[in-house]
Amino acid sequence: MQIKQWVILCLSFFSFVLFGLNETFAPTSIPLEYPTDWPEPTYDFSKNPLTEEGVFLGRKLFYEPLLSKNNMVSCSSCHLSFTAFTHVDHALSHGINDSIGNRNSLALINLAWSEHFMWDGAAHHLDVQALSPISDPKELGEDFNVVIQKLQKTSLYPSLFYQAFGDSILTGEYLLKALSQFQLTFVSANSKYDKVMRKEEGVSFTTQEEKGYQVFKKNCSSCHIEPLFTNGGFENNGLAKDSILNDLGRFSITQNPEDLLRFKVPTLRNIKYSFPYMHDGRFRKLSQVINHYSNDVIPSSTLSPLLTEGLNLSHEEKVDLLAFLLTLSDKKFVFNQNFTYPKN
Amino acid sequence: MIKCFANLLLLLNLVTWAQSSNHYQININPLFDNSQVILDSTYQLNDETLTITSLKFYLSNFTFLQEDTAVFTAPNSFHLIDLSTPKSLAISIDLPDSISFNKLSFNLGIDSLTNDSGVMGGDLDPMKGMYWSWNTGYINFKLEGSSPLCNNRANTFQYHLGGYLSPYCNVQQLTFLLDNSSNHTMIIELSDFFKQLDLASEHTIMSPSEKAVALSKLIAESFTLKNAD
Repeated sequence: MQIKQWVILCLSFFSFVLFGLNETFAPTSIPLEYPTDWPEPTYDFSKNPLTEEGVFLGRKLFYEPLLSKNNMVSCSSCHLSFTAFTHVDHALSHGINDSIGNRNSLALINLAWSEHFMWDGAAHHLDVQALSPISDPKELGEDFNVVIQKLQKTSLYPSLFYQAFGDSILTGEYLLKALSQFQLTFVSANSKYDKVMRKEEGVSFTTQEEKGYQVFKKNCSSCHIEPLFTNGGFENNGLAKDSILNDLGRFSITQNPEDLLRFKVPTLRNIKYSFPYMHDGRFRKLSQVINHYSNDVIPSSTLSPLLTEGLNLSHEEKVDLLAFLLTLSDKKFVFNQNFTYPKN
Repeated sequence: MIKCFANLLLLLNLVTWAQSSNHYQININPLFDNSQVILDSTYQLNDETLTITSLKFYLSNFTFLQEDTAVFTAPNSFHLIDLSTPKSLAISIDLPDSISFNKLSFNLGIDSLTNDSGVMGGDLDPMKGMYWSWNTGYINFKLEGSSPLCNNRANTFQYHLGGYLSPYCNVQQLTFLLDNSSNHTMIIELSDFFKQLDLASEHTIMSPSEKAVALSKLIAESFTLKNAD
């Protein structure tokens, strides 16, 4: 018995060496770079380690219109890198054939720290999030298996999949893992706020920004927790329900009445770029957002308890808060050349 | 040429390996009133006809026990059973040598830990059509067909049972007593399931809910494990 096992082991080793001679699969690992004082990412990188090849494949896929039914729309259609990966100018994002969706696309920022995706948390893991927009008839509208068949037939993708995952036969697992890898690199940590916090030389808040930071800490920071500027959860922020969209938020996923009208708390990072605001894009300007929280909160049983009285900010406080929010803009992030359309 | 040789060696290894291990096999046999279920064939329910067009489900986490002590858990044992794919109706598990057991436990469906682990491959690949994208998570059990008893437009029934979050966690753990043989048959008596439903109203269950949990329990009760004849 022991001799037999030895023979098997030797043969296995020999055959793997022979396979190795014939093919090259040697992905280059890359670390996720983020500030040392940030919390550990919640994404489990041990199950999908970042590699140059995986990130590159994900980037190709992110910009790939073959992911849509009419081969014209890609992830980037609603998530533009220059606007912090969201769809500006459209209150509700649109997909194939000018279909208008039900929600305003979320900005894609610091996803390695995110555990719920979509405004209602419909996706519970980054890896499986893309399944929803790919198959939603108002977004990319394509059957997931057809996407894989289309990509398999190209001259490009089988070799990119091989380089990233060691297999030129495409699978859903690899496609989704590659998309995750690219999106995990969307780390925004170079705004003026970050530089001030890191005490970088020559960078400081203006008096107005500093006053705005104090207004923020007093009124907003329990949900928009630093440094990610979100608590990762769901809240009812007192918006009037749109009678046509009739969007019930988190409730539609959990069926728990406590989740009625609760929506994902988005990060405030790069908020200058990611207009319009709220799940249905009802506010075009940040000043409208601040006015809502200050004076227009609508009471209901699931309203966030911190908003029951409204924030009642003075005009000066509103202007200061706005000045602070603009310090969360990260130009290095929105103009990062590693995030744009992959030319080769 | 080198690749050919390597392939040959790998094949040889597999054959040798197969001979050296201790195989356990379960054959899955869905029945309707003791007759084998054949897709698109007609069966009788409450004096009406009933046709099954699709039957797919996950069996996972096969654990062998001696009394109540687990003696072996098959690694990565996630199996998508699909009646339209005969190959999927036999599950082989390599057991360690000289293992003795008198119970087998497994899950009908995918547990919450696996659901939480991100995307996976093989039978768990979302390509297999057993994954919800609108409320992400595995569909544990799919049964579709038609009967005039179903009071809807095309007289169809569609049961997509899934969901892993409390309070609507659908995964069912089943445990059966076994003899020590290496071959068993898993019977799923679907008529037991249908006879407890009111098809006039209970024909379409496709989201995690109290109803879906109740149906998952019902379908689990229609499973039995028998010693192979």
